[in-house]
Amino acid sequence: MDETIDLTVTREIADGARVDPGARVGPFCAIGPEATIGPGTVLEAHVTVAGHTTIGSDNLISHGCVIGTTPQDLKYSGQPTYLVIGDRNRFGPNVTVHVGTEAGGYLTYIGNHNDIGCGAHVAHDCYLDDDTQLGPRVMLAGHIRVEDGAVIEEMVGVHHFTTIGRCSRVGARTPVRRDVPPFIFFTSTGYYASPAIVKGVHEAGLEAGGLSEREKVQVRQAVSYLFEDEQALAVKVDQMLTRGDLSGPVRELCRFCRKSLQGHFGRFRETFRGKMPPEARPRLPAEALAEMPPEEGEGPG
Amino acid sequence: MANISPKAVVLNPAGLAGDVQVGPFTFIGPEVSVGAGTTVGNNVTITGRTRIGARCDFLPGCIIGCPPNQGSDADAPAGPCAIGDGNVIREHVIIEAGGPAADAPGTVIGENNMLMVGCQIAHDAELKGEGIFANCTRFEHHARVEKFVRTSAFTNVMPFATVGAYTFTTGYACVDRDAPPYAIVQGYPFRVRSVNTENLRRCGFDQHSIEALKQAFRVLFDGRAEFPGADQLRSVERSFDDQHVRYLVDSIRRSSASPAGRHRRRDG
Repeated sequence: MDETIDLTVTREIADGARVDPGARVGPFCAIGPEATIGPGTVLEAHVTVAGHTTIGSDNLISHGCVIGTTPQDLKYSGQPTYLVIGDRNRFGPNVTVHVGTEAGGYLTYIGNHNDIGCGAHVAHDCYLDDDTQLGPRVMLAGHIRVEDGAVIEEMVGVHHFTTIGRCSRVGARTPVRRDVPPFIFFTSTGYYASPAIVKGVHEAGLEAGGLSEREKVQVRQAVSYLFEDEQALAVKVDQMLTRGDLSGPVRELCRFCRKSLQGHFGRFRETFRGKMPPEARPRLPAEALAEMPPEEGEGPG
Repeated sequence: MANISPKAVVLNPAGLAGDVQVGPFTFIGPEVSVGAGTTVGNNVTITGRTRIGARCDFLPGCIIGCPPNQGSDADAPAGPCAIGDGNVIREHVIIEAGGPAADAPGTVIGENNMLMVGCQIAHDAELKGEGIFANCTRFEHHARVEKFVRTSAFTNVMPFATVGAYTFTTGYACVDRDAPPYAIVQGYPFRVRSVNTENLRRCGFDQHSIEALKQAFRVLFDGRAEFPGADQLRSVERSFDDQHVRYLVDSIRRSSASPAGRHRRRDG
């Protein structure tokens, strides 16, 4: 940024906004009074940061992003809800992220080192863990959890309350209406936006997840056994879980499938409908917890 | 006097009602009028011959009344754009002005619509009102949407196609011909999946009407033809004495008699 340009007239930083002196705020940015922005974070031009939003350090927020506006949920009544963003995330141009809702746990959360493509949308009460990649125009509906290292390709639409498992991959233009298990490549069956199936193992995810060669072979075998014919998935998962010799990743895969099968429509997080999910409380900012009612009515952990 | 940020550019302050709020870095053109109680956020562009009603909410990054996206008439003046009361226009929504043709109807948005992030409305489209349109819904030019419609993400409504009242479109659905009212439609080319009972219940339909519609749908939509045949329509008309079934049958008749199954192509 050219230091000779007087940027004060081309920025609007509200009184009360906590912008670290080490952060850089580009022209035509508007930052609301409840926002916190950490050191090393760069806001390019035309970025809006609204709401009770906490942004960590060393994030790149590209042109036109709108972060922390109100949720698109008709039940939202305007109470203060929160958005927490960690460190070293990259937001492409025109990304939109909304704060949480009261009914969904008051919090939208984005962890560390996530890469969010241009025009993507992270809706209210979503949880992005670490190292995830969202392609251009990925639309996450409300209450979704994307676990560590998951890859979602462009123009994927994800249904409310879905979980995208660790180190899995969702193919481009796939409508995701149920949970995607860890280490899985989940995609449409070829034609545009046709029903999605488990296509196989996401090999790069096995690498990224730090699995040993032996664990990789075991995951490949488990996936081909479990998803060859999904009709008997519940039976096969239960049968596998009774075995004592399962390796960590295979056990993780089976437990994930069992949880998903317990939720309505194959979505485990449906059990948190209208409740505070267990992820919310440890991640909420301290100022939010001070105003919160005591712990009660939480969903099963 | 409207509450206009000193960092906004408003070329026609007289066109803004008394309590309109305008955020910083917003541009409002010389021929725009805005009704009472409307909030325009920051970094919004409203241009063209655009008339905006009362109690609307515009969020950052939306562009309203921009010239239509058609190359041939690039220099011709764009048509009007009218937005009714109580609409919520979310981030990055794009609403084009009407086309340059002398008889173009202009882009018309009714009352109490919610247009979620990234929706696009092309020139001369008509949204009658009370609709909820999820992210990235795209209405192409001259598309028409009746009241109480709900769409899912990435829905595309093709030029001149109509979405019937109370209908729900699933994710990635493409309305490539007129979609009947009261339905859930999915896919491309779309097929009718069932009656949208949930929406009907929410909108206060009585059980008798919902049952009549369910039975009518069973006769009409067997998944074989794009539109039900004349025999099926006649038999449904005879079997059910219900205003909603009559509206359904009339809509389908009108659509199936029109070019490409899109009645707005004929009626304008």
